[in-house]
Amino acid sequence: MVYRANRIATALALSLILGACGGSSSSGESGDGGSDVLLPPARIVLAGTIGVEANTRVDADTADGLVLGELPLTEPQLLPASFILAGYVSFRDESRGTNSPFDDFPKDPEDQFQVPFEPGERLSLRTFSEMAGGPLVTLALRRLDGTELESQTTDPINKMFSASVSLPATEGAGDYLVVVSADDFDPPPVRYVLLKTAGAQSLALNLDWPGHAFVPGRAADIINLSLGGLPEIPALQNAIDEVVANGVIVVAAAGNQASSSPAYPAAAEGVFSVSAVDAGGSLAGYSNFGPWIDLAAPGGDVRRDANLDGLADLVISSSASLGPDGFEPDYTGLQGTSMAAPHVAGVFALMKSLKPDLNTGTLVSWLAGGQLTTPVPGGRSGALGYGTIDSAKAVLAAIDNPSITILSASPAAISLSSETRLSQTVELLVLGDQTNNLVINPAIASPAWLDVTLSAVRPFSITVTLNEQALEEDVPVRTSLEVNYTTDSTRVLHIPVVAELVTDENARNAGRHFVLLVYTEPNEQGQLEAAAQVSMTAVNGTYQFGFRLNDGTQGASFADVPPGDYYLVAGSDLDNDGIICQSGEACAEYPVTGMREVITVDENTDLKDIRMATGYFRPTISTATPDVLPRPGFTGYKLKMPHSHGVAAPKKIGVER
Amino acid sequence: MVTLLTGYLLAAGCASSDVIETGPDELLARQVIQSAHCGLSGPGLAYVQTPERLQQLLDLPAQNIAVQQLRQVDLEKEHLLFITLGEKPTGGYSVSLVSANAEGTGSPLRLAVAVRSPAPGTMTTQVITSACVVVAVPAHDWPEIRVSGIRDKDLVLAP
Repeated sequence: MVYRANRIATALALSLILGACGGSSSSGESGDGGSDVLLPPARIVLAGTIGVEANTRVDADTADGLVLGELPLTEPQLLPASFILAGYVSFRDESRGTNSPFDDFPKDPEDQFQVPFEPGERLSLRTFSEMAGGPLVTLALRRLDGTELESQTTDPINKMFSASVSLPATEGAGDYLVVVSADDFDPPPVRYVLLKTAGAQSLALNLDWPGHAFVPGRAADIINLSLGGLPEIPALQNAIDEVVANGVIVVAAAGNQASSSPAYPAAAEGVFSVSAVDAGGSLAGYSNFGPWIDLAAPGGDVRRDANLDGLADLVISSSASLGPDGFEPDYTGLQGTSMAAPHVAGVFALMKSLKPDLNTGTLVSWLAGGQLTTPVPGGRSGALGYGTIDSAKAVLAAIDNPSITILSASPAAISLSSETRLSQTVELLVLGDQTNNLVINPAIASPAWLDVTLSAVRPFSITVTLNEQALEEDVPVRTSLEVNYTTDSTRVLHIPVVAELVTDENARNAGRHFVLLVYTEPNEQGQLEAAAQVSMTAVNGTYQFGFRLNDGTQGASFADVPPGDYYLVAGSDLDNDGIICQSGEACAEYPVTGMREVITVDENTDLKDIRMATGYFRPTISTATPDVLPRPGFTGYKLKMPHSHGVAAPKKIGVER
Repeated sequence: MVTLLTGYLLAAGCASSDVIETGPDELLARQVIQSAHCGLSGPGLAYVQTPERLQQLLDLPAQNIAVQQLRQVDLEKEHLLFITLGEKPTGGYSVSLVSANAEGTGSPLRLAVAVRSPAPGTMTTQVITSACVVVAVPAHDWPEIRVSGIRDKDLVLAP
């Protein structure tokens, strides 16, 4: 298309020359196309530079380029592998016959780009025309020879203003054509953003959409960001500032690096940063922590069974599984701060439904006031922020002048067994309107295997005790206690209870076990490695082990330990990777799993009655030892290998249990 | 997220006259499934010759893999090898089979895998993953199986 001078051309050319500070273009290209304007030499009173965020691109033959150039691009514009590009398509070029200088446009119905792709990589387009009768814009991905691979067209009538394509897995990595085209339509032309990046730019852009920076009418009240891994980026902070200013509440996962280094977007101003706790309310071993954490929520920890329900502490998450007819909706137990953040976002959504004007400022105030969480000692900690989200408390806080009063159990569930604890006391907390009288019905039905004692005066509590004589051996049992109470209304509190009388001691078998004396300092790879080890299978439900002192007077075997300081640990190596005590592997530490202590081995050592317990689930974390566990970055104990050079030693030790 | 690769990857070296004593068309290894959530937390190998052993590996917590595809493997004819990347703090990791070869009768089976990791600074889901690939190999009495690509040094297993 040949450039045709018009009013926009003149206006743009003039502005470029004026912007060139004395007549020389700082961009390397002079703004020809208009008359020269000679500016007198002048004292510089204001100067500076404007930086551009990395990977930002603009369509080279967008409107101003077409106006100023002779021809639109005849070759596809080359783009990097990662970019955000601002573009423009317009079909007609005739004057509209109006007085508006912006009412006619250079014709540019199609843009072509040459973009490096990896199989599976996706590229997205968003138009900025919100007219239901607006133009259809098609995004197409083609091979360089023009063969079309994928395309998608916007659907303005149905308010779909975006499109995306991805390179099929059957295609090889390399350069491909990306074509953006518009159908025949009346002006105005359509601006669009094309993005192919996994970085901050895409997040900032995507935050803008639900935050209605571009879209009239807010599309979201709460944004949950179960993602992270970014450094601090001003553009990201600006985007967050904008959506928060628009009344949107932003929640983000603190990250899983077991680090105190601020991780973004969680650590950004205006974002609720959520760390993860296990079922016992202790910080999960993987969770980030630090003064930038705002609050915590359940995220799971596969290494633990903190609520003693016989299952690893995982968060049941919506997922998909592959069945005979393809992928089917399913649930999967997962762990991560990605699982913790939605708990908070969900509670905030419940609150928002009751208090539509709820915003970030109000939530910050309530959070600091302890109205949203189970508080931590001192008001705030680096692990849990202001504490773990308490949904009942938080939702009640969102009700102005709550007229209801409820009871809440802490802990919310009870697990008893002959191997752990036979009795437990549960606090019954009064939430909501504290002026209402509350009376608990002392008649609490329970099965014969459970004795229940109620303390019916404040502070309310209930104590449950296992009646071993009434239990069948090795058969797990469950029940749910119903605590009836009367306050502003008659209500029922349900407390689930699980219990088991375990007697199969001789049949127990946790699989082949390695018992190690590991150095207390990590090796060059950061691993705690065995100085001595023995391995064995269970006999009558137990493992017997022994180590000899290697005093240098005889040939040492694996079971000989030199004098020194060690940790005594044991466990299985399910995946034969030469490391025990990883997720899904049995583990035991001396004297108590989770709180290992140094054993000094010398000629005077005489510890022959050591008793340890191993298993596939991890112990309850004691609130008395909050700083002992979890151990951030714990990766298991490394076995001593028979051949330390070359490759890992072949082992015939399987995963039999 | 579970990904199924049903394609039989042609193993490098299969056409060699030194191919282990199997039929001329028998593959040395085929990728049965991949998963980001195998539940095995260490980089390593787990060899499966019996349904009971397979069930042990399918009973792990934090797991989401295509169970049916694994159970369809006839363990009389093929054994399964779980090649695990180990626990990672985010999404974005995967393991896939690249090649397999055995230089002669009684020699080790050598597998090469490719590991895909998120680029530094990439935004990722903050979910703990444990990526793996499960490979079916002929049910021979392999003296040794070596896998390259997971660590700097080969992972080695004597089934």
